[in-house]
Amino acid sequence: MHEMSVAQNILEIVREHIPSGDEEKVRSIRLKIGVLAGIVPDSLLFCFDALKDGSPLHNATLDVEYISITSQCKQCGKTSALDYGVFFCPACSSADVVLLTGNELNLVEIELED
Amino acid sequence: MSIVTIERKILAKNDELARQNRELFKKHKVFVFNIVSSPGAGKTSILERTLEYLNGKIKIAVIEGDVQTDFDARRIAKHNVPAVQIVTRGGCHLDASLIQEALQNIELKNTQLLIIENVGNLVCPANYDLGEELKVVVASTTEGDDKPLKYPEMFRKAGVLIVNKIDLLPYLDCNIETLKYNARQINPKLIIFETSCTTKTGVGEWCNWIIKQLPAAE
Repeated sequence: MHEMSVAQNILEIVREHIPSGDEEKVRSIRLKIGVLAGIVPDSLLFCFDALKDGSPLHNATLDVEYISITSQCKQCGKTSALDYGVFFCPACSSADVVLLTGNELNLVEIELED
Repeated sequence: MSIVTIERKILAKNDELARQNRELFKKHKVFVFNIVSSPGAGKTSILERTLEYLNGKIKIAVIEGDVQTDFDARRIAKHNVPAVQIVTRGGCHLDASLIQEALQNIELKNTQLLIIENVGNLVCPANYDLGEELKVVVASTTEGDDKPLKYPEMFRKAGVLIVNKIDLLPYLDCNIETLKYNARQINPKLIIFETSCTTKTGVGEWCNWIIKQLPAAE
């Protein structure tokens, strides 16, 4: 259940960037979460809602874009999409792959009502 | 509607503290590993066997993370090694700020090896860099041979796998070759040790590997 601490970090970052008088104007917070980031989406949404209620950020919702796993093979050089938990190059079967995406846990942007 | 662009890692604060910890370890030439597993895989027992083998040969300190109680720190203290207990009171992982706090009670300049025992959990600790050199994941034979496939994030991020409780293999439906194959499917670079804390099998190989990782003294 580290989703609670992730939700706390999200709120802290928003507070750092939005003047306190404008917090009620925050409508959506855009996140990018990789499927390998170890986040259970429903838990994160639940924790975020629990924390925002009664705070000036109570109008905010999370808008999550899930990022699938892609890799680059260091043997054949190809970029490929990988299935969850399989870390082999689909083109040449080499295990020498570098993950390009899938580990993201990023706050991208905040949308405010004018 | 107006947009404020942020483009920031959500755990950036933790990552920054972990970077500071790492710098401190480098400055004092301390080799640090973070030992993770599900509850009951044998992290503390491996630690005890490791201390028995290495204590007196090198200077060791331990940070113990537990959800509740200081039982583990008391087990470690019996080996006459400086041990600091972090009780997370429900928290499912250690983070870099908890380590920073614990470090106030450890004399790094008098330490060659710092072992951090994380909370028993194969999910949450994968996300929190503590500043360690590497993660050591423990999988015990009693948990079955499919564990790496169930927790790919942790096995992908670990540098070492210790397969523990190998003395129980004759009584279990666990194939150690399958377990190692599954782990290498997730992370081909894993260095694997096989241990039993009851018979002490494999403890020497593991400890001699640790000694080789220690930064050279000036």
